[in-house]
Amino acid sequence: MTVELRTFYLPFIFISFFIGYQMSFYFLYDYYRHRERKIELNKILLYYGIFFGLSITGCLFDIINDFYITNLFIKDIFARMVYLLVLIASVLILYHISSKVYKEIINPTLTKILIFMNIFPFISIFIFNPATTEFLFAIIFISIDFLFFLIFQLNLIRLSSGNIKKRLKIIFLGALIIISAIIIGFIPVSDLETQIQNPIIAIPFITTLSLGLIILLLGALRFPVFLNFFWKQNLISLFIINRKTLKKLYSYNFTSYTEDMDNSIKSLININESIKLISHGMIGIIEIFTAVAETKDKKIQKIKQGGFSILLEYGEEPISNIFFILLVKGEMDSNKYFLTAIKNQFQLMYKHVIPILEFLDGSSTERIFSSFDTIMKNILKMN
Amino acid sequence: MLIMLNGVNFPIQGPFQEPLLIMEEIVIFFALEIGIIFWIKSKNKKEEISNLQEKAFSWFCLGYSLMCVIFIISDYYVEDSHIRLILLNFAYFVQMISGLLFIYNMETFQIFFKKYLFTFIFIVFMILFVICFFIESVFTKTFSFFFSWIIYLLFFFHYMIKVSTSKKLKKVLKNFKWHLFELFSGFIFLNIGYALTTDFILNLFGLVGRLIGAVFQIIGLILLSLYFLSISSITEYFWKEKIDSIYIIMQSGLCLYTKHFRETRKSFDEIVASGALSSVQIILESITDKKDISIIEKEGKTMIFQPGKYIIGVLVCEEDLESIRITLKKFVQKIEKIYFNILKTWDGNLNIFKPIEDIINEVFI
Repeated sequence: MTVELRTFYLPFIFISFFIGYQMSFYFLYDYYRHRERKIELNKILLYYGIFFGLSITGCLFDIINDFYITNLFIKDIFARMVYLLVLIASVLILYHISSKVYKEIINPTLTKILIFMNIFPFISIFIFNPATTEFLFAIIFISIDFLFFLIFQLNLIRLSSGNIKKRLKIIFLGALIIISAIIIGFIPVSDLETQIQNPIIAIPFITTLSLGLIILLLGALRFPVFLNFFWKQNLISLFIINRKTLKKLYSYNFTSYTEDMDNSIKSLININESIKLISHGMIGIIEIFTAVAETKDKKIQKIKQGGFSILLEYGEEPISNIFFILLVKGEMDSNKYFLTAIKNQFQLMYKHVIPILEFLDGSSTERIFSSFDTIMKNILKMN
Repeated sequence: MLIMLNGVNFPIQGPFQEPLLIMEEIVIFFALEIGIIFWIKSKNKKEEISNLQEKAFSWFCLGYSLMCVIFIISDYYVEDSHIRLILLNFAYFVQMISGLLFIYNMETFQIFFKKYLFTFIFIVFMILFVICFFIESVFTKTFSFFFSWIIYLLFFFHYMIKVSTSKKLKKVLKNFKWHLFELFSGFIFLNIGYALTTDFILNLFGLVGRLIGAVFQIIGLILLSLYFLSISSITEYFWKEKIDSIYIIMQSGLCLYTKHFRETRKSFDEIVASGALSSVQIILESITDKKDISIIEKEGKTMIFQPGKYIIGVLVCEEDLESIRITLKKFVQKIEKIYFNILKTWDGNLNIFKPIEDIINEVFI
């Protein structure tokens, strides 16, 4: 029997949409999962989700238009909708990358200008007929937006590290493969119905497109929390203190991550070496603040001094008398996330040991908690 | 030659061909995707108990996906009825292999009635299927549908009863009723969806039924995936009541900690017991020249020895389950991680090990 190309082509196209929507869902889900951590860069997951969702919907409209709609009026509306959706997707992602947090990656003013320039393709989508050459103007603009986004992606990869870098590389590779698919499929034949008649174009197009989307999906699956760039360079030191005895349980110096710091920080580190000052000082501040501000049920989370911040976290039952102090340069959401990760790991490991601390001598206590070094090194590997 | 089946022609053509192909290929892709995701998850969690259930479900999905691929080839592209029959039989066989792997992994994780009972039944059934194929291949279709799905059905319902009656699961699993619903409805959706694609049901409902069947299969796969994702975090609660007692012994034979989980147990001198247990491990190590997990089995009782760098964890339990071994290993590793520097130069102070009680309560109760 003869097998129609359409019976291969359309199911594959719809599988590609299925992958695309899944990817969009995964990004949105990951954003939702980490939303409470309030990390600014994490918003990129939300915009990735919206971007892919809208772009895939645009492509779905195109397929419906080419294969299932015969009414000319509805066809015209659908064709405009395709470009409108893709344009909205690209403008939204540009809007996000125009944020100040990306100023090290891409010029925000240039991005804002580009967003403003997108008014023209918006107008042309409504004025010109999609079949006319004037409409090409909108297509060129959308291509420029996408190119700009690709440059942003490249710079983002360059500045990221760890698992995020790996994931971004996968996403970038997937995007490049999809672009190749578009070049293979649409440069020789712009109309999908004609494309389907030509197996030399249709088969490579559909396989490349599916492959690109699968790679993108792999990059999107369980995307890690997007911590700020250079967040490790801000770390100075960590102290874990027993509030009851005012004794240090554990401390860590991050000097290897802060090699380029100035003398003011170095002097601060010297001060930090006086654990007594830190533990007594912090307890004092907490007590004074609680009394003055009458906030017994609330806890101090952050203290800012000059260019430095002291971040605080408190243990939960049964280790509620333990508190965690992280000294950092500047102020970043990612450092707070890092401190919470330390607290969680410490609780997990020592929650059963803390209640018997009073029966142990100093050297035993020190030996027990020194094992936390290995965990610390692992936590530091994130991103 | 076209194969005609009460209004449904094979290979399937006409207006329903395209939507059916789209939906069925989405089912294939989705099952394959879930299978790969769960496979990667189980590989990444080699040292965790949940990997057995994840691996089981992964096999099920991968087999299901391959079976659907063969169904598509036979129903949409093959004109010869004999070749179609051979292909269909091959698809059923693939489904049976994946079913066997699914049940085997589930039974490695937990015992249902008797150790590997369902695995044994499935193997017997597969042998019968092969014999039937060579004697009269026309009957294999009915044979496969009724028998393999009846075994699945029995297994799933037995598994469901175990899950739904577990008091501990009820206590620890959030949205317990919802997860039970996921398991139950997922299985029902998948079964009905699969049934709607079979020739027998096609006779009754035609291709519209097959289209609905594909949608049902996707819903079923989603619900079952959600269930297996949620259950993986609390899998240890399936076997906790099977543990009798635990001993933490220094390599030298000194007892660091003992706990008996059953009140009825006769008291026994713990110092003598720990010394004896440590010597058992030493003997086994000298015989095999290998420092690894040792298991001593007696009818109704099993003793598992897990040596660490400084300590040996010994567990007395009712069954030798992979899940119990993994937990014991993780427990020994946790103790050594916390007390690493203490164990190196331990001075005999037992007070320092008091928190082990809480760690045991957390891990084993």
